[in-house]
Amino acid sequence: MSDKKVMLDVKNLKLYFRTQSGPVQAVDDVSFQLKAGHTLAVVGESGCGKTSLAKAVLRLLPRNIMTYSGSIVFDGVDIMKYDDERFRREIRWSNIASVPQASMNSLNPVVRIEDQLIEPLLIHEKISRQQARTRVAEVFEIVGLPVDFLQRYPFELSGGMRQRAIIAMALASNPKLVVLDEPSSALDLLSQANLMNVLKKIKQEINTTFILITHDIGTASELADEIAVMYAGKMVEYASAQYFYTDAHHPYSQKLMASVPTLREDKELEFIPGQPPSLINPPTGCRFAARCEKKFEKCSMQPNTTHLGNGATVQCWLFDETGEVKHA
Amino acid sequence: MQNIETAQGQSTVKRQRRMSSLNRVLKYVLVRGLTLLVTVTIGVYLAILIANGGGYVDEMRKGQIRESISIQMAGNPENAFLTLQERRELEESMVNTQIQQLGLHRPFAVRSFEYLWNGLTLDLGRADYLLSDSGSRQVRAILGERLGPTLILMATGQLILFFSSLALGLVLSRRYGSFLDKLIIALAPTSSAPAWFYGMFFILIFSAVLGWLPFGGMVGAPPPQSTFWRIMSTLKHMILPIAALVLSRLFSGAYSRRTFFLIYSSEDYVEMAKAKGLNDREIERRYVLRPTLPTIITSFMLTIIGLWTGAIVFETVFNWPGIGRLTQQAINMFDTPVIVATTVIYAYLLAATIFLLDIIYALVDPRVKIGGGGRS
Repeated sequence: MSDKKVMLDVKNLKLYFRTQSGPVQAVDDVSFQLKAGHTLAVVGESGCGKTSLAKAVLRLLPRNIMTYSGSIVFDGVDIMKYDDERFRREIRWSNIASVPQASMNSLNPVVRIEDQLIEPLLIHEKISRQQARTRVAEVFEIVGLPVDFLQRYPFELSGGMRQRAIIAMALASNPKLVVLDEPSSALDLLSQANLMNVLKKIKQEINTTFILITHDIGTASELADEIAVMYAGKMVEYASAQYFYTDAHHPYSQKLMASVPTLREDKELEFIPGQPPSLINPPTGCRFAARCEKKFEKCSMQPNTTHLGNGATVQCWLFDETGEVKHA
Repeated sequence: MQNIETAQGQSTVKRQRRMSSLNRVLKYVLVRGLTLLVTVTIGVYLAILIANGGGYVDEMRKGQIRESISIQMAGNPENAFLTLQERRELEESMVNTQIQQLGLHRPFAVRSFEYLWNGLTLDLGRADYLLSDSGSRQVRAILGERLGPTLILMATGQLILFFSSLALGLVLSRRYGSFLDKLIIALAPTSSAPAWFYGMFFILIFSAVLGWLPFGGMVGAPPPQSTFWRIMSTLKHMILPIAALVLSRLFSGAYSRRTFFLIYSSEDYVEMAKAKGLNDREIERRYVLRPTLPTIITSFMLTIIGLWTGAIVFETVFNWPGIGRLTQQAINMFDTPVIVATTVIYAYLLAATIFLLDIIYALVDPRVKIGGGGRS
């Protein structure tokens, strides 16, 4: 597993927004590596910067941007150095595709679905309309939609179908990386399960790297090879999914896991008292300190990133230097 | 093999779908046309009732007839030999004859429906007082003379206004927050004053003080002999009214368009288009302008209606010989046939525009399904 090449290497990524009441540190100094063919699930509460992380990777930035820095090495090239035009031509969709959060509303209401799906192919690849159509019909079958739905308009499809159409669009251009931003959040449970099965099938059949952003840890467990936990703009823990579900390190991750119902165990669900801090003027130390049961003096300073082996990292003073729990 | 069969199956399905949609469109057009006709009829009838003062204008006209005949009789020396009784009888019979000639003896309720029929069939009749420039009493001739000038002035002005505010709005939405954007927003309240208000100042500055442009009218006096110079003269007369028209609406128009485009460019599918790697121009064309096309067409059609109807005060200020000024003259003189005729023409034009709009709307927006047949 570890001999696979690194598809995405993010270092010190920062994304701050300018607002009336001060800068919002939506993504603050986030670093991680993702291997080719792996799926990374980014989990965390609402407003912790998951979507901003996705937007930062895709460079889909709003107008009120204040800081956008760090390095994103994608497939060996630092794409942060690309200017917008080069980024558009060489990276967008042909290499990094996305399924946005509101993907039900991400189809142009007055253009037929087929025309929207073949659009990126026509722009980025020198292929004929007919070839593009054939390709789109293929991926439409992969995501489990009837091919004649391509002739319809978005409003003639249900929300789940539209979501799958967007996934089909993301897959059509064979991108190396697909960012799925809460692909199932707006759907009912049955459609969610359906969509997850589609994604699992795709993962097995196509060797694409995925970043799956979700607040649903249960959903994440089905697909993820790696789990990244975000809290208040920081990536507090990054671990292999294999270990994460049984042995989460960061106190926040542990609490998060304790709040998820499981099938086979009979456990009392926990919740974390308090609110995440505001991303405008966040606390100087560990951002979780105010809600943490294991807080001690050092937590008033920003913890370093500690490597725990197997590529796992955690930002918590409990694990600093030795990698062992000091105050259990 | 199977592929070919399914392809054939698909094409028959498509053909059937096309046939049924054709039927649906025809049915829709018919129903829509009839509905509009009913609306026009009601509108015109109301206009007839109002223009006739609910029949009171008839009483006024009867009074006028009696007055003019008694003056005529008093001035006629032959009548000096008649007794008072005979004179009264003669006067009465003359008045009755004239009332019968004009058809005023029949009840107004009956005649109002005749007027309605005549109006709807565009049998516009004769004006009571107004004359066309060629001296005709035919309302049709009067209207025909006035429609042209209104169209020339209003079409030029409104089209310039429409497209310039659209373009300016697009530029502003691109440069949201820039100095130009803030300037136009600051100027938008100037549109609360009507065009003729700016027109008066323009006339004052450019005609009275500077003497560069004519005060009003459509051609110089005396009119130039050659057609070319007549056109040039008309163009020169159009500068001030059009400038006033455009200035009075441009800023608020551009402002509202800009806001409109900004709202539409924050739609999720616009960001999606960006993620897909489309360039800015393609995004603007396919993902901002295209979905807003129905709304833009609606406001364009409403502009067209505004352009037919002209502007009563505006044309009066610029002494422009159009429909607006005609309406003003007709109202001043109680010239009922002319008032009714202009109303009929407007009603028809309005209905035709709405009819056209309904059809275009269904063509450009797939979400508007013609005939309500549900999903196809």
